Amino acid sequence: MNIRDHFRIGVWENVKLGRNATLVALILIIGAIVAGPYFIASRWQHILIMWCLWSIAGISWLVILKVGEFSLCSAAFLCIGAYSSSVMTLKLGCPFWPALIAGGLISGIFALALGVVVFRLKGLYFLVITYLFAEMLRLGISLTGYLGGGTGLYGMPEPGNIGFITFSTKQGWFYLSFLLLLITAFTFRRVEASRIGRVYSYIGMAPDLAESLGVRIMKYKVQAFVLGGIFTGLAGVVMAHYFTGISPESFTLYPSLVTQLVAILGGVPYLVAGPVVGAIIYSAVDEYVAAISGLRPLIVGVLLVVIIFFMPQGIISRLRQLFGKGREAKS
Amino acid sequence: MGSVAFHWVTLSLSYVLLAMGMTLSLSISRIVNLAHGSFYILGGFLFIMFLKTVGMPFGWSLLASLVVLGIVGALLEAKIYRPLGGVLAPSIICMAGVLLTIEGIVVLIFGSDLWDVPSYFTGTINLDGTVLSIERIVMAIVALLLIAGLYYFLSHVRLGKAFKATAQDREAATLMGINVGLVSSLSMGIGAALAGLAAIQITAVYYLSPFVSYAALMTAFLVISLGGMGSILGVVVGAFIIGFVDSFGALWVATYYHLIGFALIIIIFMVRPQGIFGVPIKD
Amino acid sequence: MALLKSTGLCKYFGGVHAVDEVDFEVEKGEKVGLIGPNGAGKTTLFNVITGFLRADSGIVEYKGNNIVGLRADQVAQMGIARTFQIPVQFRGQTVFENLLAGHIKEERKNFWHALFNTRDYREEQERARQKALEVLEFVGLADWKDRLVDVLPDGLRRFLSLGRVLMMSPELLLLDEPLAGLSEEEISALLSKLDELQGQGTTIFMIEHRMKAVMRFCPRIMVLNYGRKIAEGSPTEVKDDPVVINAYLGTREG
Repeated sequence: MNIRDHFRIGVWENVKLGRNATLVALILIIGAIVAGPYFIASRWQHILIMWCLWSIAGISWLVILKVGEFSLCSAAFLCIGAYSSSVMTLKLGCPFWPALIAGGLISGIFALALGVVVFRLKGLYFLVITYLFAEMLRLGISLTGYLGGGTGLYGMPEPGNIGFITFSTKQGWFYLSFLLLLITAFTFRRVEASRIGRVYSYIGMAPDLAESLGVRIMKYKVQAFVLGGIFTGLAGVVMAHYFTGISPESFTLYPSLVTQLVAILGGVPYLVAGPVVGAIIYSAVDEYVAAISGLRPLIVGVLLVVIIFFMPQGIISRLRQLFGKGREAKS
Repeated sequence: MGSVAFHWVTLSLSYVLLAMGMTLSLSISRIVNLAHGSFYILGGFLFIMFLKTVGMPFGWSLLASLVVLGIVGALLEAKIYRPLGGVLAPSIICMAGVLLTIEGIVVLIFGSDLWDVPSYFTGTINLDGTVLSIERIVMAIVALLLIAGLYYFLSHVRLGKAFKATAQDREAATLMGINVGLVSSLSMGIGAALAGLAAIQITAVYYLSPFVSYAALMTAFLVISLGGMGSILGVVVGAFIIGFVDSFGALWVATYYHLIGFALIIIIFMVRPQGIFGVPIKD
Repeated sequence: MALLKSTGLCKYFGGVHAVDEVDFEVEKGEKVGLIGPNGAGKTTLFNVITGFLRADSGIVEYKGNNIVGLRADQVAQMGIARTFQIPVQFRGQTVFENLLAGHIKEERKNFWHALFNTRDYREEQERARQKALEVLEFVGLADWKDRLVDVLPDGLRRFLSLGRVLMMSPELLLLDEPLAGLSEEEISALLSKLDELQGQGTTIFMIEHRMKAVMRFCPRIMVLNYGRKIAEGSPTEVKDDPVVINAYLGTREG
């Protein structure tokens, strides 16, 4: 099993749809979104909301992987986003929408600071530091008692109604998380298809070669990290306000591992499509096993191992192989 | 004061055991073994199971737990980690999967409540007014013996020296006829067993819960980051420093003491990324 | 003023003098060869010049500016392109895409332009594609345009590497063993391409082991041994130099 080939960091694949197909798909999707809350059961609305949020987190993690860096700090950025906006709305009386933006920006700033400091170190050290950063953040809040301490922050006020959209039911959150996902998807699809994504791939695949071609590695790594940080932070904000409660317990290693799961489940070569596919599977499964206490980590853990062993290229690649498309089929 | 010092020593000894496994798998298998945290809780829970549920005497429970853990660690290395060929991303993800799987299994079987290990040795010694429990003394001695044993093994026993050789240069070791695969599996098995012992040793003091695996993982990381990756002496030094922070630090600066650890790590990574006694890991 | 010049250049690895007090000059438009036994320090010298390694002492001047201490990408931005001894490719990509990679340096439209797919950005990308097609023709890989580089035969990979650095519109080409593993035919083809480039004003500095070829191609040759420049001159001068012969035969002096 040539795992390296199957688990290519830096290689991207474009799932290209024809023009008409894209248009039709778009209309269907938007129609489904608008009609959604009126036809979809509450439980499934929840699943779809989580789907959007995990997709965003997964995409963000994946873009950092593309640049060749394996990070374990998704939980940290979720945490930063969540706490920033919670503090702003709860303690500073800030309305939701500016707090949302602020949550994303503050995450981005942390990512910038961390990235600049940490990308000088090599792979293994980077991994350890991102993990320690996430854990220390969590423990810092938990032990010092600041920002709600171990109990957490609760009762975040919901955003006010916008026309017919209300946030007191899942409806508003449904629309918001979809909107966020669309923005994330657009951004990262553009990244993937443009020179930006190509440069990320070059850095991930053959950094010396890239450097010899004039690519300033540090700049792009930090850039990718900040991008990922911002969007993960935004997802964290939505998570916090949707659940109207957060605590340090929400941000252990587990969410970081879930973001990895959704990314590899869908397929590492697919920056946007991968996590989107992976996240829907995870969210659906998770909702049904959440009741039984040990089952969640068990399933996620087993899935992680199983995917690496039996389908390291992810679902999308596997499906494409089965249907004869894709690069391997071409040559 | 004396009891805090005693706490420092026993805590640090358990940290040595815990981190030793991680440094072994780092230098020999070249993996940041995220599953290591789960070895810790697995050891604790196995011990409780053997002791309470199966009803085995103390010594046998201890032995059984360590043996089972050793087998689990070795199998994990051979069947799960090694086939991945050392490629970084899949290996880490896979071991993370193992971490969650073991944690999930433990929760399913034992529930997610806190578990309290029954004291086997009752009684205390009174030393100048500080009260030291016999149990902790016994466990500390066991830990010390094992650490010393490990040191002796690595320096004077042929297989142990093979460990060192493999850690230094895997290819050269193969050329010298060392069965690198066996060494890798054994080292992870030993590491797992030591981590389990760390849990058993300290359960007399701390409650055990499945979620402690994350805390154990982080402690192990802190210790080897500080003391040095790939160095036994580094593990001991790092463990005692972190142990100091967690005992005296917790005493003096109750709320912030974890941040001291973090600050130390930042400084170390800036100044000397491989840790105090560390050997830079060749990728 | 020489295009590329080094004075007293040194690089040590522990006690080993990989590059030891090397002085050289390369004039604009020249074709210069760099030879020497294995381990003489030739690739190390290239790595130091291009910023992959930092010199321990001495200076390297490019168009009069000291480039010691610059990062590899900064050196590349200045117009110096290099290839690697073992050709590296962006695997999983087509030949055409690999060529496009070389154009990155030339692309000025920044992040936001790329993100929003502005007209300027699209035009820039179109220019890149046009250039890639030209270079594809030039290096003779037109048939392989949309094939994955993974299936490209070894010899042709060297052509691809050359093509990729040409996308950078370099002034100075540092080629590390560009002829290794090539057939006689391929060597002639590659060398004639290099001649064309030189005719267009590109300066070529190349490390080579294929003696006949490098002697034929380069009017001036430098010889390195144990990190020191031991000889320099025309091919005939160098070929008959006893010091050079000794170096290759392994006879130690003194």
